Amino acid sequence: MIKTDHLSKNYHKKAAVDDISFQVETGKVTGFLGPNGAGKSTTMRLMLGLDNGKGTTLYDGKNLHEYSLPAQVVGVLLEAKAFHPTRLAKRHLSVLAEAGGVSKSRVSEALDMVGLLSEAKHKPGKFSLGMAQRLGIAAAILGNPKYLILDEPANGLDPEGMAWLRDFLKDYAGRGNAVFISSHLLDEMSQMADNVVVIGKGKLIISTSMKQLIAGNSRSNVYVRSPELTKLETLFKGKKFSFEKADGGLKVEGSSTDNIGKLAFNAGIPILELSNRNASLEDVFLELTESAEEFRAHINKQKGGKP
Amino acid sequence: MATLRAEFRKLLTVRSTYIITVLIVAFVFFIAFYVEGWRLGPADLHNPGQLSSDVFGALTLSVFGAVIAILLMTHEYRYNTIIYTLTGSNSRSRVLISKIIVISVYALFLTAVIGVLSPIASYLGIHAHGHVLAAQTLHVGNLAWRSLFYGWSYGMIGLLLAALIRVQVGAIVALFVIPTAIEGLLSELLKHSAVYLPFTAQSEVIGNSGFRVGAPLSPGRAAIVVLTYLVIGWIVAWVLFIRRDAN
Repeated sequence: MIKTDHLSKNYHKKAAVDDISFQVETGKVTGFLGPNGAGKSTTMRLMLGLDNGKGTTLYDGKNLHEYSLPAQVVGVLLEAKAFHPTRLAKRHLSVLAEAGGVSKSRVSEALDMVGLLSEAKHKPGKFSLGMAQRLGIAAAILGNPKYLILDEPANGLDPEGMAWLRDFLKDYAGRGNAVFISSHLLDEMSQMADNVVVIGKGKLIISTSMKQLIAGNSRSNVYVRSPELTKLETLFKGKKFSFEKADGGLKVEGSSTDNIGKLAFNAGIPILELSNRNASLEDVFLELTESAEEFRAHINKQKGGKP
Repeated sequence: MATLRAEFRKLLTVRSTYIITVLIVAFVFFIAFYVEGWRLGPADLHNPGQLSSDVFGALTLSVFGAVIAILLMTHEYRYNTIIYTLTGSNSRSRVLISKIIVISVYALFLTAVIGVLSPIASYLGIHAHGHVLAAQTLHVGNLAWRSLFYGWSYGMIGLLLAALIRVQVGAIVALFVIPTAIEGLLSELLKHSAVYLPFTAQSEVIGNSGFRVGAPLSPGRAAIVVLTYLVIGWIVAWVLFIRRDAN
């Protein structure tokens, strides 16, 4: 488990990261969300000791510098194009393998795992963003570390690459490892992450499981449609449910499909449709970070003005 | 040892290391063979210290060893590989010491190559033109330590500037501007005391500082002045390397 404790970092008296504490559980993918400028990258850098700030990050109870070979504890991808452009891909990884005390055979293995073995003897300066991301992922997994810390690894990946990344990271975490990943691709994140940490303006907003995050959101509800809508309304009023008419049916908050189905059956009311309408991660994210947007675009609504 | 091996691998897996080294060697050979050999005037042919001065003259090219040192350090920041360097090692001090060792080895190697190649090429040039060089007096020990110190200190100065400035262009500009423009101007003010300036003292180690007569420092004392600057500079660089954000 990774345990961060009171991480803080100021830039010119402005708090970039403000007293953040959370945990990254082993065996799970933990998503790290926040608007632009929320402090996600700075938090990751603090976790790795790259930036000097306050607070501690423990990996299985130890500071990273207490491990003799940290590259075998945590794999890192903070920037896609973090390589010398004319050092061959294979040699780039060889340098990292040497520094991390990793066997040279892992270089080819890692390149093969990310689908870049055929590019091993090419200069990465000419790689596309997607290929650079794959090389970065190869660098991160080179030491077969227990923890992966990845900052926006899906940027630039094509749909096949994203599907591969999702499966790969879920599988990696499932083998007793932990993956901590930031991304702006919320749909991807909702499919990939088991837990989620949301920050805004440098502060922790919430750290919970993905299921709880979405289920506990005010925009989640149950939709029910019936030819006897009036009877259904009377039933819900009697049960003091909060509901409103929507799309020819009723949108009910604070109950479940199971409960509504049983109530309608017992009352002899026919049901044509009964479904959960969960908020998407995007809905939840926007609601949570509404007041924590550092940079927000404004549309010009002046009369006659162009947007 | 893993960090040290990785630093060696970094140096040896970029083109610039080989391109710059080959260009230096080719240039040293050309200058020594043609200018200090083939075209050597009669007065110089009778100079018993001619080959020694050839060596010291050629050593000015070891400034490019400092350029290699700057590239080794600043590539890390320019291409953000410093992320991997610092997360792959459990000690920033170890990273810095590894870079110092790697550049020391490279600078000493380059200086040795220049020091051996220059007199040989010069001698070949003289004989190829059919001239005969007077018997030479070579104080090998003296020549060796002064040459090696000069080349090594250039590498260390380059690495130090890179560690302090971290920006590639800035460090290279500083390497060339400080000894020429800045120390040149200060020399006008300080007169003989200018020999205590870092680059001037470094040149004085091999007698190239411009103080042809009555230089106030012996090579040994000039070396101590340079070492003093390096020690102070490296203490500052080490503290900054430990305390600054990675990039």
